[in-house]
Amino acid sequence: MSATRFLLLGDWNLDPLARLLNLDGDPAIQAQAGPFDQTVPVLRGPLDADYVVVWTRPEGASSRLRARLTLEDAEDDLAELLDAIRSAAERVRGVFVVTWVMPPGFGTLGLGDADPHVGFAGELAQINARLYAALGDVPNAWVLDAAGWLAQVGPQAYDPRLWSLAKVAWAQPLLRVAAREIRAGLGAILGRSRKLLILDLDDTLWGGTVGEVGWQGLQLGGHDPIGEAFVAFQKQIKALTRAGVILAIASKNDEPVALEAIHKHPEMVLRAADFATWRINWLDKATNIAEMLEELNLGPESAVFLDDSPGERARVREALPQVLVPEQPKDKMLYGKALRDLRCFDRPGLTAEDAKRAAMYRQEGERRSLRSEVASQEDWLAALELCITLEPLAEGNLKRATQLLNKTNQMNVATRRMSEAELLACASEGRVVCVRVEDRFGDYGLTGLVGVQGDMVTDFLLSCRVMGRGVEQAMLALVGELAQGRPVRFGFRATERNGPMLDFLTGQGFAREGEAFLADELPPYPTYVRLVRAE
Amino acid sequence: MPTLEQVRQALYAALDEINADLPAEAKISMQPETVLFGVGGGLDSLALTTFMLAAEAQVGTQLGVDVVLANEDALERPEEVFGTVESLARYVLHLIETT
Repeated sequence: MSATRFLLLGDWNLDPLARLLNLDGDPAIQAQAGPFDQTVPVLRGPLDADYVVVWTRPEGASSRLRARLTLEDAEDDLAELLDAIRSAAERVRGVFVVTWVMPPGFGTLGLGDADPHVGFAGELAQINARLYAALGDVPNAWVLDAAGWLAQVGPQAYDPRLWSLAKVAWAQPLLRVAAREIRAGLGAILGRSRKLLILDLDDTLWGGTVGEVGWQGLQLGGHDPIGEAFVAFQKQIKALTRAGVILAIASKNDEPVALEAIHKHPEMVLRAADFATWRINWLDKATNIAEMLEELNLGPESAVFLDDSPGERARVREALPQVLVPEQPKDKMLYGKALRDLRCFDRPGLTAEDAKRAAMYRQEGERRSLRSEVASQEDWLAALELCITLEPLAEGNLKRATQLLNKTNQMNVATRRMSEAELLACASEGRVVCVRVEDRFGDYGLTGLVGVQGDMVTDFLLSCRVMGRGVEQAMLALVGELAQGRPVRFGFRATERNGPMLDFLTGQGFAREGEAFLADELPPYPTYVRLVRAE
Repeated sequence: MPTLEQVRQALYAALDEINADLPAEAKISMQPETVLFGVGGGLDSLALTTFMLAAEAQVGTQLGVDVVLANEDALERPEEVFGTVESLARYVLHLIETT
């Protein structure tokens, strides 16, 4: 995959940041510093980049602030900069804007620095509030919190001589953090975030070995620093589930003993219902994890595995190299910090589907049980009571539709990656319809998308969560409907991951023309589907 | 008074920091004769700035002496002072001796 092009704009020499971003990393970035102190003119002009980073010093945001006049005097400059950023966001995939901060101890008035009329700290708070407000409704603009970076780095963040010698506003330690955050942010936007957290139990989720001390003897909560740290760690993991992260357990234990602890321990934050699946047995953990990934229809690159045992970590790393298996700190009180520092669960925003994802995966287990109870695939599809809602792309589903477009790999005809603005533009040039799926066990949410321009199916994608249960067939019927019965061509583009899409189209018996598939006739909606059309 | 070898080690530690931010093919080797700045040098003027500050910090931490490398004298003849690890180590020792 080619590197994502970044243009860095500001009123200082951003070349050191560009160099850090250009180092090998995932995702790959090709960054270039823009002309010195030309932020607004460049933002207003043609932008030859995928993403823009705007990082000005507070005094760079306004020449009047530079002259140490009040914020009131700087209103026009600030409004112009924010408007230029909003305008640029319409012409690139995304814009990152770094908040305005000053080096530690930079004020001169002491208590007066926080005075909103005369103090710099007060002014900073106000211009940053203005920044958040101005970009709050721009879907492809993200504010990066430099105050958090400063807190991480401390006094090493700044050296006044860098400005004198090279017009560099911030020292290398701060720029390293900034580069890491920008790359993590891009990874989240590109859908590279991990989705599944697989946890060991003993000395990972609680202190002690449950098989030896029983659930009553575990270090979990109570008046004990380690026990309290494990409760805090579990709360942190619980919060991840609200951001769409799926949990699973891989533990060497007797299952009834471990589950009893999860059910009965009064200070357990995570309960059985929080886990999509588990393998609690004495078998090889790597094999167990591979099984769970297959069960959840997730790839190893989606997963993170936490285990206190170096032997188990090494075994899983060796067998499943794409699973992220971080080292665990010796001090159990640092588990939470280590998990936070991974930055692998970043999200560019949260959707309703994110919050429901854990429940969706639990429902999936119930569907699998039903499949084993009925005789045939047809009987199973009928028993699922599938309901499909078709809705045009609109403001309300744009965020989720874009997220789906940028994350779906397997069942994806062209694997086009687009920003919200680009997807909206596609909808205005052709037809883009979102597909919501629900069955008797629960709501999958918005899991499919079809885009047609003329006779070309530009986008046909379906979340792996709903593959293989007849939704694909309903989407073919939808394509036929959008094409008004005329022949269409599926603009298939092979990737390393979209083999299932190739198999599906091949299975339909469509003719090939180069990579594309030609469909003269498309099937009607399947009888086992209840169709709802939303406005 | 630190020895020349001790100064070299402090400079290598600073180079370690710089190397962490360089691509594999541009990493600077830890040898006295390594050319740092000027023709064939691994540092351009921007990287030299970062290196000067890192070297000052490492000399301070490892040898317990404060030196200012970003001084007028050194900046007037950068290729002479920062030309190689060895020339810089000798310059640092000179600063320590004379201040």
